[in-house]
Amino acid sequence: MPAAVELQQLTKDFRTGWLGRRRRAVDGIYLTIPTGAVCALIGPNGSGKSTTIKLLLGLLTPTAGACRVLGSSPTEVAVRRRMGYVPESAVWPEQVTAREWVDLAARLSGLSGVGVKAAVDAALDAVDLGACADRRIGTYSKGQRQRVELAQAIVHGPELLILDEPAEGLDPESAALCVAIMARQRARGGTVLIASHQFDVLESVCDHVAILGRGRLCAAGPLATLARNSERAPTFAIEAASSSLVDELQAWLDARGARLRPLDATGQHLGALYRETLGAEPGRASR
Amino acid sequence: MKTDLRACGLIALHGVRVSVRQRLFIGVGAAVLVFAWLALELRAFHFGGGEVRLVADLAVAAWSIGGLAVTLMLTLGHLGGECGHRARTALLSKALAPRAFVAGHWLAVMIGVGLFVVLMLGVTAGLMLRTGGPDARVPWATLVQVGLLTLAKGGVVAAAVMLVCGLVRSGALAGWLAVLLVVAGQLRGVFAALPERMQIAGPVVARVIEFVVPDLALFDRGGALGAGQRIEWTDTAWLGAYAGLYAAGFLALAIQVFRRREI
Repeated sequence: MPAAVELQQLTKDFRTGWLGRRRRAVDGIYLTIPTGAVCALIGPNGSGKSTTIKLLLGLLTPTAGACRVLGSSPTEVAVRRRMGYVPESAVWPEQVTAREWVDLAARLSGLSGVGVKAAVDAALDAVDLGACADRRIGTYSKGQRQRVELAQAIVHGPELLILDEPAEGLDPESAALCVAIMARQRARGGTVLIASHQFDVLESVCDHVAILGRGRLCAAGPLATLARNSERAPTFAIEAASSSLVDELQAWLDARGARLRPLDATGQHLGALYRETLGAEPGRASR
Repeated sequence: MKTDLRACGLIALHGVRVSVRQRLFIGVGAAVLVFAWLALELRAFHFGGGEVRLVADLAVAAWSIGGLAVTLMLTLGHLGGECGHRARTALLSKALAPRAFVAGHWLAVMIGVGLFVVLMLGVTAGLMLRTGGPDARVPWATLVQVGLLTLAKGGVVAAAVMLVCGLVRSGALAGWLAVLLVVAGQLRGVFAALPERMQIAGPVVARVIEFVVPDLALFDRGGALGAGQRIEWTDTAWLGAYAGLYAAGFLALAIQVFRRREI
């Protein structure tokens, strides 16, 4: 079975300003995402995540290198039929209803006949929009628009689902819905590539990770392997029967220069790996 | 090919739906109503029996200006500006060939222009009957040919504006360039003559304008309605072929632009 995504020395330059100065957005990336993986694409703002995704969708042409998606070039229309894409910001025409837009997405993706209505209903129900699907998109809240984006991306049952900041600014319920959709995609053997800054969302579902910095691939591979190879101090979870025991343990550790930190926030493994790989806080790593 | 045709139809349907919801078709109806209102108001004045002529002259202006306005409004409404750009990104990320995208939007605009032509045919015929007295007759053949030529002109303008929308990202700039293109097309004879007065490279510039800019004034045959003249079907056919050639050329270029365009 071919890898879902194969990037070989993928490079993309943009020309900016009146003088057409060359700016390298993606710099010689080698990356393979196996079929069935849920891969997190993380990196600071301006690190080349969205550009990489647009190259994968065939919306941009690489300056150098090669990009293969599901065994073919992403510029082939037939391949794009097997992909679903959730863009970074809501881009849908506000005058149409969610049902009409998802219906158009389904038909453009090759569905036809009686199967379209069932697929559209299923996709709208999956994002919990079934009850208000006949309202115009312009009347929706931000969270509802994001759900429309998710629905149009999954309506045709894509083999590869690409999500660019899908949970940005969403309430916890909508973020959980996004995670559920990714988990469902993995359960049916599909592949997911998600770019996001929300490590709790990513860590709850991703099994692979690719970290970008200044357009370069800094680290990539299975999340468990990367975490194991990490140089940072190991972290343990302690199941204490009473708080007094925790206090005693804290005092003992304090005396030996270690510290006890609560593990109630998820996403810290990936967050720590991110900071360690890029060697700085997210804001500084992009400069 | 079958897939492209299907996608083209889906995009055209989507374009018409967005136009209806954007109330762009109200603009089409308003253009026709303004023409009818002007004609009826001016009919109250005595023009020495020239009422029919007056209505026909008004028709010429309404067909020409209204047709151009409707075409520009629909095309820029679909593809111009940030909204158009974002919707374009959303659509082109799907399994949609650029040729189906361009042809579908062009078809949607042509449906709008076709609606304008049908409404104008009805209103012009009705006004000619009302102002022409008991022996009034509607020159149907001429009227239909005027309608067909307006449709052909709309096809050329829509294709040219789509090319402009593909070349520039700014909606405002696309709008200004589209208006400039239409003005250049209407006044092509004047523009083509100007460079000949220049000493250096004048004839070359004149040739380039003649080749690149279609002569839109050729399609304004509404004057025949007022003068009671006939339009030869062979002329209409030739003008149809001329329009088809330019529209196909502009559409082919627009497809190439959208194919190479990075979003």
